[in-house]
Amino acid sequence: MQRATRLIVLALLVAAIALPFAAPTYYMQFATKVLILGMLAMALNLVVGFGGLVSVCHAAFYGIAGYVLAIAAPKYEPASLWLTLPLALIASSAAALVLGALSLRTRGVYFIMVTLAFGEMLFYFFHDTTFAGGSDGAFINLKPEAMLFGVNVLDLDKPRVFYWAVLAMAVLTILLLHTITRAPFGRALAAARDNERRARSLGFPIYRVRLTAFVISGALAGLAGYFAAAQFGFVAPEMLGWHQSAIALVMVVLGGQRSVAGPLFGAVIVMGLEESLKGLTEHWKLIEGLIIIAIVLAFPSGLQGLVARVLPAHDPEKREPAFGQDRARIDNESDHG
Amino acid sequence: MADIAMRTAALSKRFGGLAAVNDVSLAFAVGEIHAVIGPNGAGKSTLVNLLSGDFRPTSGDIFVGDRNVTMLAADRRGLFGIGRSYQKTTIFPDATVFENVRLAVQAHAPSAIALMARTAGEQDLRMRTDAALSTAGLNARANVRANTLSHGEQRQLEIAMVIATDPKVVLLDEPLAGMSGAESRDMVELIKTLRQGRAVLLVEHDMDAVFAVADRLTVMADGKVIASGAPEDVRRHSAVRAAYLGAETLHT
Repeated sequence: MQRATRLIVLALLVAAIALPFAAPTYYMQFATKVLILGMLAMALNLVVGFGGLVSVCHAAFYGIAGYVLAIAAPKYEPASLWLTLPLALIASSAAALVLGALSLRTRGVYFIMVTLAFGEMLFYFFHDTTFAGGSDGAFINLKPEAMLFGVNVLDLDKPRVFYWAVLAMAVLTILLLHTITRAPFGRALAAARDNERRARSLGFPIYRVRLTAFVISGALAGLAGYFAAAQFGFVAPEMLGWHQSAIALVMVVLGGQRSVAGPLFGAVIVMGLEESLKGLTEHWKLIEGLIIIAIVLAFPSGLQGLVARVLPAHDPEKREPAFGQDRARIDNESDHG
Repeated sequence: MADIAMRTAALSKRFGGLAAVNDVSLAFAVGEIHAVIGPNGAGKSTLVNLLSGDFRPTSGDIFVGDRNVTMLAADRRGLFGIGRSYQKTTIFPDATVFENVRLAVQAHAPSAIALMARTAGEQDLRMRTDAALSTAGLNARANVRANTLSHGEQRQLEIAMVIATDPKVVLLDEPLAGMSGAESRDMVELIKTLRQGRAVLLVEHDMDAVFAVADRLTVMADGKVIASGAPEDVRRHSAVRAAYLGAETLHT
């Protein structure tokens, strides 16, 4: 990292840590929400930006973790963080493993459709059954506590502590994603995105690499979902729906897909717009949509970057100049893997 | 006879009613460039795709050494020592030349998909990448983005990537397609060096190049092998004359 970049990162981090001393509780809680959704968007971006796979089911992993907390929490006592957080992460990872194992057999538009279908299946499971409150959702009456030698070391009831805990998780997410995207794993994942056929013929186990990315991404989405549920004290099926996935995708597109922390800034833009427009008019969603369209038009490389990265994943040869025509037919048969 | 690096036994591939490759049994020896020629639609590219694992055969077997690799997917065959170039240059266009070759080296390293970069491992990859770049004569271009290279250089890069995986068998699918005269001559020289310690399968339409480098020549037509042997013997084969090689080609 260059010196200037380092200084900016350090300044941002210091500002983020110091925020509770400057901002009123309302804005601190708002910042917490932004960080949580930013974590979801960063998690999603491992698959979308670095993997070139547009998943529309990440809200499912986010929601499942929230539901795990809601189900595991006793009604009149706080749940143990040490127990429920790992449980939530295991549940999200397991869901990502199953959904990823099935959907990663498809490519491109079909991948989008399959992930959408799986996401909606889970949404309707929570919505249409009486399980965990059905469409009414379920309450988490008390925030989880982190007991260590009889002392709650992390009093999440205090908004300030909760904010710092979420900030720490967001930093952890960034560090983890930073590490793996720069490791051989990240290079293999990007290679599969840029030219699947070449990556495979060099010997990279593409399916395994992508599935690993999908599971890590699902687990991190679960981490965000756990804290979302803890913050609101409430989970509802909407948390798993495609609408939630799409918002995360918008954050990814706005924030930039080639950077680890970019989607966090996408979350700041989207949530900032929502927050500032809500007070002005009840038609704020319309205005928000128009502004987002304007941003995308003004910075086309963001959107183009997504398209360019997504399309080669299902047709690696489209971008390359065509030499020799006699194998066109056979080429079409070759993507059977 | 020299060591057989790879062989096929009654290999066939059907696309619906079309037998693109029909009952092909060939052996590829270490140290030999084995050229496969034939008119368009003869099944040459399909054969290469079957050998590389990009296609699954309808029937028949493929052996690397004694090992039957017919059911191995393309990535496993890559690890098993089969490297290939594609008819259309297939590289990572947005990455630099160095990054392209490093991916090839990395794919066969113990750390191929490690979740954490280790200093020693990265250093090892860098050294081996530099060595592969020197072998291919691409040192000066190491930090250039691959999609800014000339077509000939891109092909050279693709072959450098294949060599960097240290394959036992190299499959070259029309490496000279779309090349200028000077680029072709360089590529022919590069191809000649590949046979050292490896078996090379060369599919190529440029007959001058084929006769300049081939140690063994197989002619295919309609998915079948119609002749196979030393280039001079095949040249005189009457079936080949009838099916493929025009009289003019023979006398040049």
